[in-house]
Amino acid sequence: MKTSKFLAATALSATAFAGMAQAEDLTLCWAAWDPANALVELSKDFEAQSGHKMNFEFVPWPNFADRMLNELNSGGKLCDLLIGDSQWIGGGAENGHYVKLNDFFDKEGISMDDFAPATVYAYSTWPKGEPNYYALPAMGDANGWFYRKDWFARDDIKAAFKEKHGRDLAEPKTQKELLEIAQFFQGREIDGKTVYGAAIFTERGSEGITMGVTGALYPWGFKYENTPGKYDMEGAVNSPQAVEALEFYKEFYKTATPPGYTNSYMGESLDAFKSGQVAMAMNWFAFFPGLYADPNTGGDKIDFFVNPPQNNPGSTLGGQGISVVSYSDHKDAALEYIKWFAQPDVQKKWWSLGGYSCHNAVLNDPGFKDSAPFAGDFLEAMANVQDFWQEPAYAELLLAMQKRMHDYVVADQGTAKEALDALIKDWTEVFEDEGKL
Amino acid sequence: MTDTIADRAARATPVPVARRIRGLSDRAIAWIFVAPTIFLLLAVNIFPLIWTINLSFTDFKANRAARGTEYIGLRNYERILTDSDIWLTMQATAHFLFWTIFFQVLIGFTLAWLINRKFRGNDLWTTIIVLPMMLSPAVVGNFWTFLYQPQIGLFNYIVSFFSGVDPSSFEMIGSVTLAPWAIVIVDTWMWTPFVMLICLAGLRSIPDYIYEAAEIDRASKWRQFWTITVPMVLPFLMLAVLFRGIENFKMFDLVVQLTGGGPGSTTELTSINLKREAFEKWRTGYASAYAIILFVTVFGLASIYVKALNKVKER
Amino acid sequence: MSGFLNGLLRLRRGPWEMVASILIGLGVVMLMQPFWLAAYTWSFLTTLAGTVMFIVVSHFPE
Repeated sequence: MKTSKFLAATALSATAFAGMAQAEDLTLCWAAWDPANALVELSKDFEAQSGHKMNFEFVPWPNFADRMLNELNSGGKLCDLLIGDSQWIGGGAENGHYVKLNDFFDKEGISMDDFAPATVYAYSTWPKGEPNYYALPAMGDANGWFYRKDWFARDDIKAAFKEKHGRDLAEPKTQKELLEIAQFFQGREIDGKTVYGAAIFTERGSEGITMGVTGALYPWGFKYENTPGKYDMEGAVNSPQAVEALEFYKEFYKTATPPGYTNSYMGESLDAFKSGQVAMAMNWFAFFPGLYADPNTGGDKIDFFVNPPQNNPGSTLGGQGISVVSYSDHKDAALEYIKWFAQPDVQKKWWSLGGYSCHNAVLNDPGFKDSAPFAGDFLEAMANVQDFWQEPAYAELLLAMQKRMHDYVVADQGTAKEALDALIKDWTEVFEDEGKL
Repeated sequence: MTDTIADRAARATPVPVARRIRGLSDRAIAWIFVAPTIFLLLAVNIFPLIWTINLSFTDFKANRAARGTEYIGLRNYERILTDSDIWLTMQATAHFLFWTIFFQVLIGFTLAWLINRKFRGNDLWTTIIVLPMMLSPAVVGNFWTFLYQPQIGLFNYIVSFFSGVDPSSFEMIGSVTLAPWAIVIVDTWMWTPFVMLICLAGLRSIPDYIYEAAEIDRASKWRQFWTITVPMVLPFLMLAVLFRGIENFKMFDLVVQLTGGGPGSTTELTSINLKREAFEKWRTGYASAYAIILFVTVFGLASIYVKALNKVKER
Repeated sequence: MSGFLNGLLRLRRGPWEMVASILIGLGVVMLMQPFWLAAYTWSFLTTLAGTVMFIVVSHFPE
């Protein structure tokens, strides 16, 4: 039955793209991580149906932005399809790197209403919130937490925690509880081994510490601007809540993380957890299927929770949309791929293989919440995500934040207020150069 | 009569061309031969330099060429030279430069002096000592991050073995005070052999009869060292300092792999900072001005070095 | 010392190169010293002046 649907879809696309039936070589570019392998698996169906051959170019995360943005800026033809990071959408649209997909969506009857609104807003639109689509939401993602369920369930640990804090050891309900639990585990002996509180993001080079710090900033109510679109950052970026949140993150780093995690991002967080060094760790939902399947620390030893709220719920957005690169020689075949990828059945299979679908047919399915131990948390996280600036100048904005945050949190320079004030100064300079201020 | 290639070429040359060539002086012909090289140099060295100078007065962004470019006079230079963050990267570079050269010359010369004494297996030792230099800087940077790891790292373990402090009580890469020394240690580990090799070449070039003559004049070993060995090796040492100085002024790969410029910006050397401005923030005009400042500095230093080198050679 | 001044007046290469070298050295020290921001700001002009001077005076007679 499924196959018949697929055949029908193929027949449709065949008529839609009449005259270009010959097989083409398509190259899809993305980061090298678990979901990418799932996509290779998924794309075999597309190859079988369309006759096109899929090639893949996966770049490790630390170099992904560098490599791909160079490719786009030089008008390279390496990638026909690009699953580019959400912050690139502004530059991709304004510099003409990405093909605008509105006409194509209209023609093929692909409706953005079929996708979760937060993901469409974050991954597809530019300017933000306008109905101009430069990507199809491909991979929903947010920063979440996972912990050693088996340690949390041990009687001696539970008793010690209760004695110390007067409440039961459980998944934290606020950021401050999270810190309390992490500090509780810091330096504790478990099975004759010293363990630590939690692995958090502190990486300096690409985007690590910004993604970690915003995980604290957003729940405290951090805003980039007082009025959206006005770039008035004074009083928003350095609000008392933001200062408190940043001080909180520094305290977390100083008192509840393993020694030596001064420049750590996704890989280090996974290593710390899998080697049994930490009780908790933050990381992107994209890794959760892999973590759950881990033979040593997965299965019944692991559980997941959404980034805890403080003043309000909030999670740092990850994830990407899939775009057609405007320099490609195979744009039609690339669009064919997007059309295929947007089908509900394909999206369902995408989720089952370990990719985070953004399609309502998957997310609103009554069985979705129970389809994986982290599925419910994912829905909760996606309901309250916030993203970094997506401006064409996002890289300058990001690098400034990386520097100011690392200077304050890891290198102990100045106060939280000074760091945020300096950040406003840097950002103001960028927006002035852009002519937006 | 043998028919050489030259004869055949001469016969094949069309008459008008041949007439013209015959009228050329040797000097002109030499110019014709050199011209392609000069043209190539102009195209790949001089033109980009002039273009960079030109860009340094603009607000050009290479990733947003469509945005339009404006001449903004000396504003880029003004911004860079009043930016206290860039000033800090200069200081980090100075620290790195000074101490790496200091340690490498000190240790390199000592090693060369020791290995120059004839003893069994000194070739083998030379080979072993030279090994670190053969590795790729990126690889070295990467595995030293493991050696510096506070919990499992060999470096921390060895320090704790000799000093008794807890290995996980200090973080070479993560601490603001230790990180600048961490990169000095790794660079010294890697490049001391290079300085040693150059010094060794210097030592081997000193003829034995000079020492023999000194011996006859009853000069002490100490006196021989300072009046024969050191002055004779000095030109080689200058060369080593020149190489290491210029190399480390533009140090990038090793430190990026090791610390990524962190913690904060304590090990963000100038070239790392420049790369971020140029190829991550894509402020091409600004980065061009930055590059020109560095270029003039290195060019000035190189002039002094070359002059000093010539002086020492004349002696 | 008088020989040095004499050389300067008669536009000889040696002493002038010395002056240029000192300027360059001063500029580099100003660029990298951690004490005074104003010195850093003017370091580039100093080095540039020294370098240009060096190029010019290296064509003076010995």
